[in-house]
Amino acid sequence: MYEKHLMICGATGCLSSGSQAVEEALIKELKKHKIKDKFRLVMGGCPGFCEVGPIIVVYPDEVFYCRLKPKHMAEVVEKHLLEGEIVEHLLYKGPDTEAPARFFDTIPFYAKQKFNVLRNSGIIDPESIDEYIMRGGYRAFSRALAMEPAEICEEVKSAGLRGRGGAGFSTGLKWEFTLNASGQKKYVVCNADEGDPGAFMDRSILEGDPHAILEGMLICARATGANEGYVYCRAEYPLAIKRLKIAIDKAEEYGLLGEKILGYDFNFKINIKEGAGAFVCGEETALLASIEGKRGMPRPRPPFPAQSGLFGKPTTINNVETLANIPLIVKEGGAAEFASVGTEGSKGTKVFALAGKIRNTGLCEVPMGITVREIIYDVGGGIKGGRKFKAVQAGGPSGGCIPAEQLDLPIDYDSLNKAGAIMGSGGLVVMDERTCMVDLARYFLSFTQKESCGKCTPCREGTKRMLEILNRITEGEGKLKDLDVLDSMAYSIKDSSLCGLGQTCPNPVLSTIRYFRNEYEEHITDKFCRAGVCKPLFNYRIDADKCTGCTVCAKACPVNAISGEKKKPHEINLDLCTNCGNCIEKCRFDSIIIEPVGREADVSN
Amino acid sequence: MSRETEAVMTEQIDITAIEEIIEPYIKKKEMVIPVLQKVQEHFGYLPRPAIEEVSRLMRIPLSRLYGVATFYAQFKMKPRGKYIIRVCKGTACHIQGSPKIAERIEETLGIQSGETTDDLRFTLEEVACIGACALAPVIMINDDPHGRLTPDKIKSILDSYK
Amino acid sequence: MEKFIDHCCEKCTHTKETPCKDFIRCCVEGPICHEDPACVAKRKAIIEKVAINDQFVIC
Repeated sequence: MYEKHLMICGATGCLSSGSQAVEEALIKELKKHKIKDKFRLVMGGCPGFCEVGPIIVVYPDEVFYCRLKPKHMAEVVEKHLLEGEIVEHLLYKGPDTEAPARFFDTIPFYAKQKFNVLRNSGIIDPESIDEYIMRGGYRAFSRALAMEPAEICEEVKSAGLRGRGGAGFSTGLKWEFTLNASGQKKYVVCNADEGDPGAFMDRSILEGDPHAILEGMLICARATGANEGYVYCRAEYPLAIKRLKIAIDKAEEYGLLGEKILGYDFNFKINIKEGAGAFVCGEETALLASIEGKRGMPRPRPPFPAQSGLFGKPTTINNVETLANIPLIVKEGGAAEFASVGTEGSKGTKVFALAGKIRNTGLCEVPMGITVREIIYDVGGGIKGGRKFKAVQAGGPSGGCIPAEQLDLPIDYDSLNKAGAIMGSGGLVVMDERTCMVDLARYFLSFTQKESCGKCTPCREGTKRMLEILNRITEGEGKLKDLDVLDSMAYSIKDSSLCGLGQTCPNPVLSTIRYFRNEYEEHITDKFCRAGVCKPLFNYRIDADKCTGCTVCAKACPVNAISGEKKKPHEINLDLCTNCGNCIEKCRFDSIIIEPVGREADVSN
Repeated sequence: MSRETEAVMTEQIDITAIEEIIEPYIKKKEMVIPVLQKVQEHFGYLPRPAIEEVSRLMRIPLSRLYGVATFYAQFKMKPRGKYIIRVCKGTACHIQGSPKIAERIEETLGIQSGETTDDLRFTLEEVACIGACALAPVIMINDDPHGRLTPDKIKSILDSYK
Repeated sequence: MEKFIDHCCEKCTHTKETPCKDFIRCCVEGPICHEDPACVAKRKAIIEKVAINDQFVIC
């Protein structure tokens, strides 16, 4: 028995903030006091709260230490581990609360969350199959082995699970199509090609709980009659690939993958395929082409992969998060339990990646139907730097934005579609008044334009023409009729593109025009970008009433455009200024103003 | 990279290792992508003589191999630097200022995205999303992530890679 | 016995070549095919070693 368990977040976010060095320091301290054997250290999955990483959670006390540095480890060991005294100053302290918080019960970030998919993340050692089994792992699969395939499909259907990869199609129905397709050889493919910029939940699940994916695939195989599986994972996720490989080896050793699994007439093996960097491969037919070793280009459907998929055989393709839900549904009584959470049309929970100008960046898992406001203000802690919320982009390059007026929109598949956004994979990028919506639309379109595979004309040529117009608008060369052209092109591309990439890529343009038309018009007629992003369309000026003459901005200016005496208001020489934005980032008195070009001439006249 | 340097690099390619690298896949035409990944791992990029050798060994037309290699962003047809700088262009990084980070790196190294410095020290690339959005803006230099960047941190970071 | 794949006694036959249908249940509940408090204790010991609290096992 160990006295305590220390879970160090070993996911990419915390590793980037230095959790490896923290772990090394901790081990050194434990060795110094010769108590290493009394404590169990696990470099495990992600507790989600990336903003305050590196994180260590001490069990069974459930104490949550954050923003750790190697130098803190001596204190943690000497005070907490040896004397049982909590190190107060390393606890999480919210901006609005007096006292520091301990774990889930008191940290607002966790208060509204419900852990289904992330149930094991940060609690078990992702490289241990035993710990997964102890937490109830592979129980659902054992149960599925004793069931008829059609029965399993029926249970998944009754749970109301919809695909978490984007479109939200009923998972049980998808399985049934493959089950009913004829053929001896069938495949299960796990789509782990998480390409939406701003989304990282699949990576976190793969890194924190890889066996859940294997179990999901096994159950899917049993339900559809498949005997071989592929995980198609981005090459940019080396840690996820490493953990998956370990999980597959262990499952083979335990007889959970291979032939005559657990004594049943059921064989299944899983291969890993690393993607090679093509966003379009997230589209299912392109993904299949890529596994087959071809250029990852989509093909028209029908035939759907359920009839003719990988190597021409019936194939079920599910996303990582979808598969991670499966063991919970197929366990005894799981389907009803799953369906008890969520809304009429969207059951269960959804993992969201919170990023952008929000205070608590990280991963959260919430029941479907929660409002945008709850996610942003309760879970996310509101906007960074106390600025004003402008919009949240849901669904990445295929999605749309939700403006401040719609903060009370419930988040489920149907409400999001109605608002012009999509659930997508679950990336939520929060924007404040310093984000330019025209630039955002341009950014997404330049992304999809680059990633367009070039097979069909509307997507290949149409995105290019739309991007040219948006570039023109952000450079101050736009015309009002451009907005109508953008609108009509967007619908033509949506209607006539071959695959999901083309059919959805105009969405960010359409939704920003729908909710922020005034910003487009301001760019076009007033030649003004009020967010201070489109460089030719604004000037900086120092507000003499607010400037304290602290000289911070002058020091930050790379071209020496700011001058002034100490403790006296400063001035910007616009002939030198390059609009780099260093000064406005650094100013602590809000004294730098964004204003239209040419305003200074009006003032001097 | 000048023509001459490239010519020199091309001549120095020792393709004898390829047969061993791809031996397990030699009869599996669907394994083209993993094969190219292995070859690139070995050479750092995909030199033409290496692709020709793969074509000969696997009996796949050269045109098809080039078709696949040029489709995926991961495959590079030119030699790359000792350190690969990947600037994350994800949404979170974009709105937190990754364009300014990229600009500063370009100024500091005197190369554009997709290029390599003449001393083969750095190659600058863009990547769609590293998935470390909480630390935006982020760059990766080889396997090391650097997060919460501002343009003025760039120089000292680059200086630490010799 | 340190891992679930290890056998509690010679009565256990689960390997990947000769699999047992009750393997997963056996891991967490103790042997299904025979009764032996010592074998149950062995399984339990594996869990107790890493269980962080009473709720660690959720089945």
